[in-house]
Amino acid sequence: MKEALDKINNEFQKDYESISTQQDLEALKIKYLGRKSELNGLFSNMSKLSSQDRGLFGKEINLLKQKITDTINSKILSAEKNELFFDVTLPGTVNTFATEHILITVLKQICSTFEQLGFSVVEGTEMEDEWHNFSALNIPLEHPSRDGFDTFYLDSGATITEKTGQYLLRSHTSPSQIRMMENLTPPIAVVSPGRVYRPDEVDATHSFMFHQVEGFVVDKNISFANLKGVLLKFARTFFGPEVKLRFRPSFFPFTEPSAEVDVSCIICGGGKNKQIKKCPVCKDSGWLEILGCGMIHPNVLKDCKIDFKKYQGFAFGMGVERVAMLRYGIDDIRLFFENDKRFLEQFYVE
Amino acid sequence: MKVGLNFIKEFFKVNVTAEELAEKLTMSGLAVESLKKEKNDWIFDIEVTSNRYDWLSVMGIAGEAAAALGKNVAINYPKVVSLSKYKDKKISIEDIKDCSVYTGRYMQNVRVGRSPGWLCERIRGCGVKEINTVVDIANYCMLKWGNPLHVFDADKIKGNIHIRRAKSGERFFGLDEKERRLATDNLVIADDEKIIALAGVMGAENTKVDDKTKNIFIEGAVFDPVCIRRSRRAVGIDTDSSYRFERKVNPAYLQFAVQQTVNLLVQLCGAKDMGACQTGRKKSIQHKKIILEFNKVREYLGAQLTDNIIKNILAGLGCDVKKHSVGKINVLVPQHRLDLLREVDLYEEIARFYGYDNIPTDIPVISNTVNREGLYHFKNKLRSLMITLGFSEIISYSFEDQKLLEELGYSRFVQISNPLRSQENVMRPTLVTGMSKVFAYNFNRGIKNCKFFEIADLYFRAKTITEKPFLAVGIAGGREEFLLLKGVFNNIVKYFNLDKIIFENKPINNFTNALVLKINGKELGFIGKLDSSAAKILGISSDFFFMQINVGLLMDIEKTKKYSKFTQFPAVSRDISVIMKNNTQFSIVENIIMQSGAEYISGIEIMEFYKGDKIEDDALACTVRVHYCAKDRTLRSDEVDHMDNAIRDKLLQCSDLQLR
Ligand SMILES: [Zn+2]
Repeated sequence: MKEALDKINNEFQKDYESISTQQDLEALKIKYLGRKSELNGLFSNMSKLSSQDRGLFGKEINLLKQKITDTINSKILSAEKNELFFDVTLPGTVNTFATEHILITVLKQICSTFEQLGFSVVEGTEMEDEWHNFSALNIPLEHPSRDGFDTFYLDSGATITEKTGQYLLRSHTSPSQIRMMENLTPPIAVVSPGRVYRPDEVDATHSFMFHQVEGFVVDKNISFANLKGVLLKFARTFFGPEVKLRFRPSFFPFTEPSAEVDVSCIICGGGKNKQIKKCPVCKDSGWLEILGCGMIHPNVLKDCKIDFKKYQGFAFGMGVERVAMLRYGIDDIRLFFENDKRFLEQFYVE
Repeated sequence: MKVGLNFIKEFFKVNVTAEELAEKLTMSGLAVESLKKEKNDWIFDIEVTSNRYDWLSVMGIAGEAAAALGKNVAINYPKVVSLSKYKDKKISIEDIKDCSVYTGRYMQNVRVGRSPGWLCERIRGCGVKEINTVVDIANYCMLKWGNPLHVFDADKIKGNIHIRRAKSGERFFGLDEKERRLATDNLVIADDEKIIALAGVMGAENTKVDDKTKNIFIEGAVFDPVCIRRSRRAVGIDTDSSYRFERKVNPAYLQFAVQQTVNLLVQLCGAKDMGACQTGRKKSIQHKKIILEFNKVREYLGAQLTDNIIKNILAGLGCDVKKHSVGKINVLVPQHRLDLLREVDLYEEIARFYGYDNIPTDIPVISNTVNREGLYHFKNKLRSLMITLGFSEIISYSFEDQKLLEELGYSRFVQISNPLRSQENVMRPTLVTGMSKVFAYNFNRGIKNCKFFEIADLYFRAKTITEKPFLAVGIAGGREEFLLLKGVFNNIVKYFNLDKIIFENKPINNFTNALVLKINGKELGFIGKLDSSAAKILGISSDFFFMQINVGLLMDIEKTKKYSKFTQFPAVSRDISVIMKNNTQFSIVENIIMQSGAEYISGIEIMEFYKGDKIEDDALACTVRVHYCAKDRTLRSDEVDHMDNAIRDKLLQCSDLQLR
């Protein structure tokens, strides 16, 4: 038995010195430690020995087995260390990732902020009629208040009724909200995102097509303070917990009181960031105009057959392009619609 | 509207800096767009909202500024002198609806010259150019009171004054030295021979006041806002005068504006007042009485305003406030605030003067009966799938050029009646033009490897006009990109758990090798390669592959997903090499394999295509790996061989196929 062990040991030493490749090492491992190895065979032969010899000899076999195992393992470790030279200073692979359009990202974020507050998203259609785009919003025909809502009219070939008037491309997403008010009984809380159109000559800040998110709430006991609360909550969720809002009186035909809302400058922190001397975004005023809003005018509720003595509401609206431009420092609205890959790929879903 | 600080100071003593005043005005609704120092004056450029015509006068702005600073304005109303009636000219108004009142004032021996410095400063501060003393005085009074006036050279007027609609085709040569053809939408002032002014908009060159003018005729009138708006839009002019008439003028101040003009002409030009004439009547002002409930104010604004605060604000506005009953007051609005008609108008004024910033913020409990709209969320799901598949989103314009679309064979569009440019005169019925323009744009800048998608509405015109959302996917490159799009579509099918889709090989306008995607007999969309003539029209130089899918239809057939058990037993595979002769399509091979009765086929996979020396030109060799699997056990090798042989037999029965 002793001789058998010595023989295995000698052979192993010889084989071990002659190995050169990883495969040799694997083969060596199988030859001396595998199930069919000579060493394993010795174990089965032990049954022939006396119980005393069995204990002694078993110990000897295990010692040899451990020695061979250690030798092979140390060889494997050093082999890995000396593996092929690999230059880790080479640059990483350039992976491209697909991106959502930044306007859609911003639009979705605005909508989901309001969804969390209990609003529903309703898109509506882009082709509308004069009633829903103007008249029902207390914007009378041939009134200067309509000037701010210049419109593309459509030659639809469809019959025009006196009430609906001509077909047009919505100049704001409010028509979708009028349709909700016409068809539902309060409480209603809706945001309407989507494309809107106005015949503005294209320049760095104007586009004849742009995106809006407008929203409204109608219920009993809705107050101007509620409007302020909801918009402040929105602004802090969307722009950051630090921002402040400023409500300035303004005029919209469909709301009264009406307000324009400024958010404290997200670039210079409304003058708080002393590092920024001349803030190019707010022009050092500390405020950025982002929203229009107000309490829904009783005429609008009346036209939608909602009892304005019983129900009140507020409405608000904002331009998605403007919000995106402010947030990302984009200086030309045309970039959104050129779809230059170098522009698109700068933004990814956060 | 522009106004100088010195002009405002005519009404009250301003004891704050120009910057502080600008801030005050902005916060009370008169948004100061810019503030500039000019010589010894400060110029405020103020955005006046269309509901406040009273702010189109310096008096109105001064009144607001004073109220915001808690001060009162002192207005020097000129004493209106009613001289003997001027009888030489008769005034006739064709329709009292167009012009409710027209007054004329005749003055003699006016010395036309240059205005004194203070007058120039006042009107220049308001952005009005000085012309001569007479015109400058009239402009000064318009700016101050808000009522536009016009001065004619009286000696150039022949006979009487007529306020009438223009006859179609009548010509008008204005002070801007442009000739315009008028129509019945235009209201004009005419003498017995000719048109002497486009009413409320602009005077005519033929009666202009110049250095030689001796005698003048001053017009003060109230024209109908809609009439003036239509008239000036019809000829495309917008003047300081029409801007004010369109927004209404206050008839109460007309007499003061005229009287002050007369007074200044006497004072500065040595003119002699020869009397007045008038037709029509000043509409008597109805002082509106509004009943206001204190609790309603507090509820509407959500602010705990005391009764006293409310009453004081209203009194500060010039309202006459009297008790009505318990918790209610009668509010009589002043004559300069004819825009205040109902309770809500007062709520606004109360909120404005209390300060929007002083109203608390309070988040309400929002209850809602509106259901979540499916389409918006479905589109977002589709969007995220496309991004996961490596396509970036674009947004292209909804407009298209009708000519271009017609060249591509489209017809029946929703047209835009008033397009900005002819390149954007119809609503697009396809997403391919917008998508290919984006590819062309990027190619031209050397940007390659574009994979884009867009989700947008398409617009259709049949009996009615409709719009429907579509998905467009585009990619440029070799022919294998067609298969990439087909694969993308398979991903969509899998993602939305759709029923079996049928790919129909069918020609589509502008595309070669097109596949129509059908489900339950409905056309869901198509995949195709843009053909060379369409590519030329759209300016695309490389092979371009495109897919368009009806998103609404896709949403309708989306099915909810459920977990389905997968087998725990390994699949066994066999390769078959087959030569497809005479341009035989792969679908023939696929159908034979799938229908060969091998019930355990779990899928097939193309391992390679081969085209070489030993293969004829119109043939293609292909190695297909067929996977077999059973749900309840491991298949035995002899079972699989049996099925494999059955497939081979079936394939050999087809004369266009050959096994290798
Ligand atoms: Zn800033």
